[in-house]
Amino acid sequence: MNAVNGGVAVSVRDVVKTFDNGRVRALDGVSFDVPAGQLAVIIGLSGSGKSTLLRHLNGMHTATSGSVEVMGNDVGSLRGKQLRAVRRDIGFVFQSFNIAGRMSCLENVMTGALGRIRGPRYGVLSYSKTLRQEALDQLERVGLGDRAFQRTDTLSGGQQQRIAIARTLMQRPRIVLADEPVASLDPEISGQVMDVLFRSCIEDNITVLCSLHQVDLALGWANRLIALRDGKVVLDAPVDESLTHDRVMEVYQRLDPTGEKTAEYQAPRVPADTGTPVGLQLAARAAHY
Amino acid sequence: MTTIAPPEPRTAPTSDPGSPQRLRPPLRWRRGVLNALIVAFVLVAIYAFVDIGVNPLTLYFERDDIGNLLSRMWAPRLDNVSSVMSHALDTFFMAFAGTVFAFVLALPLAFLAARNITSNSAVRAVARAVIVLTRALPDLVLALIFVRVWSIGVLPGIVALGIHSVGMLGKLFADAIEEIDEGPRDGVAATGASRIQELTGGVLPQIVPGLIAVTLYRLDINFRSATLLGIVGAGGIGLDIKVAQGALDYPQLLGVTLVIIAMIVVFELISTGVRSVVLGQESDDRSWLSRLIARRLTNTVATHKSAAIDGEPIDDDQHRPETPSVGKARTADLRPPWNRERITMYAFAVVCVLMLVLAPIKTGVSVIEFITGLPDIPTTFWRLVPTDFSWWDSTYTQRFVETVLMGFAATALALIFAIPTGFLAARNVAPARWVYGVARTFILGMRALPDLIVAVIFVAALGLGPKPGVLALAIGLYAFASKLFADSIEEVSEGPRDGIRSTGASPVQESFTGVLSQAMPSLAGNSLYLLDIAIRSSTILGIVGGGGIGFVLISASRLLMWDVLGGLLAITFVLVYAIELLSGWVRKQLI
Repeated sequence: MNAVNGGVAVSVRDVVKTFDNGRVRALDGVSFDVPAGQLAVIIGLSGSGKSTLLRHLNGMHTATSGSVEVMGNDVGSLRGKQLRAVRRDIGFVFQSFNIAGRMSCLENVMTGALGRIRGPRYGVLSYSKTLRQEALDQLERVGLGDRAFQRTDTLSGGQQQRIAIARTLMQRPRIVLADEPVASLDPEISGQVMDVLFRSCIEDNITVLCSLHQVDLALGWANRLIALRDGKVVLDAPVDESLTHDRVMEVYQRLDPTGEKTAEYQAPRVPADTGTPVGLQLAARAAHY
Repeated sequence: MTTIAPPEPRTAPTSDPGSPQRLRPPLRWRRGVLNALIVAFVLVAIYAFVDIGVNPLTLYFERDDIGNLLSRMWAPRLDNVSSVMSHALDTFFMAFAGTVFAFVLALPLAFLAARNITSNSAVRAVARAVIVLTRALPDLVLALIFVRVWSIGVLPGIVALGIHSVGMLGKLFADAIEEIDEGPRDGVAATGASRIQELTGGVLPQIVPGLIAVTLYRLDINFRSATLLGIVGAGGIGLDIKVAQGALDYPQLLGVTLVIIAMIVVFELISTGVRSVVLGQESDDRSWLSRLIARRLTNTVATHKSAAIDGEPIDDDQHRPETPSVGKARTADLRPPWNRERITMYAFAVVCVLMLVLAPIKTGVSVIEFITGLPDIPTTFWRLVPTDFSWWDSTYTQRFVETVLMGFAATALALIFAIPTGFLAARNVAPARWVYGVARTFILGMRALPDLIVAVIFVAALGLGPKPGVLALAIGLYAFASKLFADSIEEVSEGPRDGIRSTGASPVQESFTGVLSQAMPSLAGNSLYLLDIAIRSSTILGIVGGGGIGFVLISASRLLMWDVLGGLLAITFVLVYAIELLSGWVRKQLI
């Protein structure tokens, strides 16, 4: 399952990000490594820095200090062509889907291939037949093959997010960053979307960094949990029996704002065991629902 | 135990993903019609290019002739400065009085045409018909007719502008009335108010900002039109254009043209300022100059507004303990405070009244003259009702076909250049800030050129015929289209662009896939709107020798051939209305 085991996909070192001329400290000395193939979930309250962190990983934000390496590239220092080359290998799933509602589902999925083809495209027929076939296959994978030529804004929220996931898969990424992919969906649909996202990434052996609100979903899917609070990592632990729901909730919601007890909750900084049989986790999650 | 939600049913992998039909979008009826219309537009435009003899590079090929003319025009001269300046002032007052006239007529008409006010569908239909009809009659043609009633001067110009503007004002006012929130109106009605009280208390307050904005915008348009009305004898600075053109006095022609351009630019800046002060909204024009002015004005308004808000409660607290104990209301407390907003509105009203008083004094138009002419209006229009088409021959058909082709050619020419310009002038797509600034300023400058005057110059350079008319029209449309396109590109939402950027797409790919796909409905809608305007304008270009039906219109009116004039106007109306209906239908299909 983890063929790329051993390689480090993402390496974040002492990243600090301030906004408004230093008045807002969104990230405050964040460090962690994610080995290739790992399914890491980042949890934390709104404003804890989850989105900011993920946006650093594909160069949509640049760190005020510290370094962000993705597959050996220092993302913060890249510009233009080089940055686009790295982004091609990094899929990004947005909370608000960020797909073009007027375009057909197939075309939205095909935009995922723009990074590897040259020149502008407009309309389904401006893409090659091979790409159309590939996009259709990805649509089938997310269970929406029959909606290929329907306008995307006629779909429900969960379906739109699955289109966005198909677009990401179309990129053939090595890493997928998902920024609260299910925050605007109801619990049942959330489960379906998480299922599609994680199952596909496991199949394609893609490293995942996913930020979430819901502790249950996180425990069900991740093999590593990173918790942020006020821009600091307050928990970083592999997901196993010792990481109970209550313990996560404690960190997640009731951590004292002074940060006095941070050390207490801080798990030892070892890369989580990526060998956790995910199949078991799927079963566990299913039981939970 | 809770029931386990079944996993998402996935399409079976055996569902034949590879059949080739599934890789093309299915062709639906609506899509087919739209595609056919696009093809038809392109074909008609190409035919028009060939027939009229223009192409996107015509200006370049004709650079010798145009350069020749410009060198003969150089250096611009201005004889009879005092007369030209007096005409310039006349032009302004003509536009102002015409807009006020239109406002007075359009407001009641709009109430009669609004579905939520007038329940009688027959009354509504008549009101709507008046709106459509007045809008379809070009102000230049109305001026031609009214010159017959009141003879040469400013008055026919005022009435022509007024009647023509009733259409646009009436339509936009009626739309504003239909879009109101019914809540306040019900609230007023629930207090037992009469019908008129309901309208003044529940409806009018909601639409006032809209009325002012639309009317100011129309004043802007009327001012541009007013500079041209003199060409048909309706007063204003157009007279000087006509005289200089007739005398082939090109330096004088250029001089007067420059005065007109300067007037339009100054007027645009003033009206932008007035709009942002009176309506407290930021200007929608994004050129450097107007942004600079507008920002300063809105800043002062904003600070004063917040000061007023901060000030009011304090005043209240100070007065409240006294008032009840004294037992009589102090008159000072019964009047709204003289805050910035109220001062602005009063100043605005005073200036408007002052202008209205000055207008007849300056232009020498008297109400009595207006009233004595009124009895002639019904007979004049009655004579225009075509009863006899025996004058019709195939040259008229040719003229109409030429008019339509001119509209298509001018629209196509304008679009070819306006789409790239629109991208450069959109803040969110422009490759650099300075490009955006330069493009916006360029567009503003181009918009100051009235197309009829450009047509006069092109006719002088290239000779009579549709070609100079199309070029002049295309230049005017180009500036307008670039602004519309840039504005609609700026309205594109950023989300899908973020999504496409995160896949590693290049900026050009992002512009096509992320921006163009979103902006397409409004680009297409605006293009149809342009075609609409282009065909309307090409019906009058002939008045200055620019081809199309306009030449016949003006000679028919000079020779008092009422039947011909009326018949041609009726056909023009049908034509323009048909184009408007078609473009309305297509726009509804594109969402």
